[in-house]
Amino acid sequence: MLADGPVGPLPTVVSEQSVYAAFVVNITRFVQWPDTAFSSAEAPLVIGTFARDPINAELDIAVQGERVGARALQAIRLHSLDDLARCHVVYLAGSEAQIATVLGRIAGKPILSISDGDGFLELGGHVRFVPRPPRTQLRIGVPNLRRSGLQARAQLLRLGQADGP
Amino acid sequence: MSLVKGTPLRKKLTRLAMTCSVVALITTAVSLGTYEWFFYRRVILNQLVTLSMITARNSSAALAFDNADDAQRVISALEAEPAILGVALYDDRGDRVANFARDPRTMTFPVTAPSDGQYLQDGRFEIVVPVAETKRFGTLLVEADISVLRGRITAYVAVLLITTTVSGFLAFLLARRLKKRITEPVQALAEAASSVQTKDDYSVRVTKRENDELGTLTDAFNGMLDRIQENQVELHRSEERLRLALDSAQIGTWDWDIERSDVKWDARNYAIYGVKFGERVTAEVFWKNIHPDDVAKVRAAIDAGFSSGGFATEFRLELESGLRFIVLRGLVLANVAGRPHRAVGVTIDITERRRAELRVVESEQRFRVVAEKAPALIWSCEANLKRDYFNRTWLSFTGRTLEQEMGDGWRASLYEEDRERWQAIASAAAGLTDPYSVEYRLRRADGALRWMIETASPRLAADGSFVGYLGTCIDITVRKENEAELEAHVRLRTHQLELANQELESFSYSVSHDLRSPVRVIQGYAEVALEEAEAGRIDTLAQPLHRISKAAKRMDELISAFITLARISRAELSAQRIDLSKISEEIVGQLRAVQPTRAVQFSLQRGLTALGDERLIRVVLDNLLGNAWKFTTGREPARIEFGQVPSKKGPAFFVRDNGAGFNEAFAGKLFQVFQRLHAASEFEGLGVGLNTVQRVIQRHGGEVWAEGRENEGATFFFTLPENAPELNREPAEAARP
Repeated sequence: MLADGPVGPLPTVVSEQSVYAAFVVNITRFVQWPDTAFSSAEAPLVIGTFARDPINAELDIAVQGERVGARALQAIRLHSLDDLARCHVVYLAGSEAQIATVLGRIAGKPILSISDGDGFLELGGHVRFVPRPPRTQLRIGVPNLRRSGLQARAQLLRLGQADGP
Repeated sequence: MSLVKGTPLRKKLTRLAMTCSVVALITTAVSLGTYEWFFYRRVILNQLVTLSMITARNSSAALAFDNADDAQRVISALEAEPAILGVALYDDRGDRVANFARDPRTMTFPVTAPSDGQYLQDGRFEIVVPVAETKRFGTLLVEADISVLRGRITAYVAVLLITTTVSGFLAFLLARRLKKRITEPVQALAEAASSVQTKDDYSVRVTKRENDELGTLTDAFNGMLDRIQENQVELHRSEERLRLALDSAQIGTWDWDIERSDVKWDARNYAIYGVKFGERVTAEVFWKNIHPDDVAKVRAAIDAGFSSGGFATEFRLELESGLRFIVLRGLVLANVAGRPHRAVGVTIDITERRRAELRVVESEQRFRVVAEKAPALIWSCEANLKRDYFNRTWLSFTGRTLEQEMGDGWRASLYEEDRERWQAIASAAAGLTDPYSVEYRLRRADGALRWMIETASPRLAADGSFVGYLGTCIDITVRKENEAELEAHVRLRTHQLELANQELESFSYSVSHDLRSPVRVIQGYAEVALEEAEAGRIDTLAQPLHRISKAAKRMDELISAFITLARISRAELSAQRIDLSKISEEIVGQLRAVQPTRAVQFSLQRGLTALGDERLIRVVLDNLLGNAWKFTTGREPARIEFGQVPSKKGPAFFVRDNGAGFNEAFAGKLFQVFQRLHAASEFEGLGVGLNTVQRVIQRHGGEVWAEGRENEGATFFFTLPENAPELNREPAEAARP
């Protein structure tokens, strides 16, 4: 269907982590949390990552000055499992066991979980990044989202399903 | 038959219906077209914008997650919208990520994203919308060709034309059907109206079809025809009456259109002017026969009528048939500007009337001439009997002036005793408008009362009303006197006839009764004498024979008396002046000679004369003086008197004595034949004398009567009227049976 030759190439300098960071930020725009997930209407939307996650630097840049509606985006580091309670989004990079533990803690809570690990969706995760250069594809665990009380916008769902597993 | 000028009503109705339908259709079409043009375009654009925004929204995730394939899929969906020529999607850096072109040969996209907005460019419509989801991810460009709209409009117009044509045709069919219900009653009305107009036939009627306005109109039209028909009948009658009136009154009518100098006359007007019917009436025709002396007058009257609005003038027409008297009357009508523009009027031939008037005047004059010179007294009066005319004969008769006699003044000459009678008769007659005749006495100029007979005939006006009397008076005094004389004569003759009858009666009585008594004496003594003679006693015959002789003598006397009486009755009177005193003296002298032994004092008034028959008057005085002489027998001294005294019945002669007199209760019987108040033995007499006296006096027109008492003497009075010895004024009322 490409009619007019190749569309302009994505910037080559862009690292995977920065793409992931941009994707995490962008995902917040296509997901709807229940009102009970926030303490107030202006309460920031908090994105949590593990302390030594390579995405942290990129993510901090990505959330800089970003807002979703009335809420500011905030990136925090998870130092204990208890910190999970403050988050609305968690980006999980690590071992399958770690990820399973975290997912176990947030199961049934309106906390959006994102990861690029294989089998993430099967563990109960919500969104999985699938890097397939030159692009990164998205996989959405729709039943998992429903169980967590979260809703994804149609555009996101179409994107996630269109790409297929 | 075209009833309406130009197009018939049904075509007009069709045209009206069609025009309305077409105008309505075209207006609707244009309105809708305009609406389409302006608003559908807007709708289309809004639709495109909306579509663009949805597409932008749908492509937000593709841009957000760098999915060009997805982006391409999203925008390619717009291919379904035919107006859209091409779509391009730019990322947040302005780089084109995906595009779609319906015709890639004509479609070029900007390399970088244009700014947001809607643009109209080369007949193309560019919509540039942001792609965002709480954050802008890029830009969507949609290019659309709105020329597709034109196709739509064209199709729309085509549909509209077809719709209009079909609708118009349907409307035409419908109008044709509906108009019949309207036009047919109208057509019927129009035909009826035309029939009325062209044939003057007001008997046509239109059938009412429905109870709508046309039905009402039909009813009204029929009602109007009814009334017109009634009015026309009335008009015809009225015209007939007018024509009859005009004909009988010899009235012509004319109508003069002054502005167009056109004059119309009716047939009678032509006849009056002696102009052939139908000839054009010009000024020359009008003035031709008018008497030259009247032309100026007529002209002046018409001129005056022009300013006053009407005129009436009288003039003469000189026609071959003779001079005619004409009255011309006109009404001048002014137009709006106040100028006379029409005059109408009548021409009346009054010749007959004028002649009748002249005849009346002549008749009046003739009457005056005749009346003034007539020997009769002529007068006239009004209905209230006040007199207004006396002829010269009347005035010279009464010796008074006309002024004195006028009204009731003449009654001064009417004899007082006759006024009431005259008034009664004249008033009664006037009340009944009857003629009357009355006799009265009128004082002549010399003061003499003259008997007049007044004869009056009612005077009637032309309309038959009573206006008074015309009367004449004739002097009938002589006739009246003759009548009186004749009447007296008749009465006298009647009286004489009555006397003759009385005499005849008396005579019969005498013959049958009184004359028989001496006959009985003669018969009785004749039988006695016969017995004596048969017995031979001649010496005793003398006594009865003497008696017979005496009775015969008496009979002879009676017969003589009858003869005298009859002679007196029949004798012609030869009147002359006689000296009654002298005759009386002679009679008394004779009486003294017969009985010289009686001493009688006779006193006589000398020189008493009267008009009468001497021989008969001598019989009267013979009887009266003889009676006096006879009935004073045995008186000592006996006195007899002759003289004259005044009495109620005029100067009366009388013979008075101091003799036996009579019972006044029997005074009435004194003068009847053979009535005796005294026994024959007492006083000699036949009982005929006084009756003879009465008869003679009555024949002289005088009266005789007596006064007296038993044994105290009697006085016999008689009158002898001076004026007529044979025909006296009144016969004696004392003529008793």
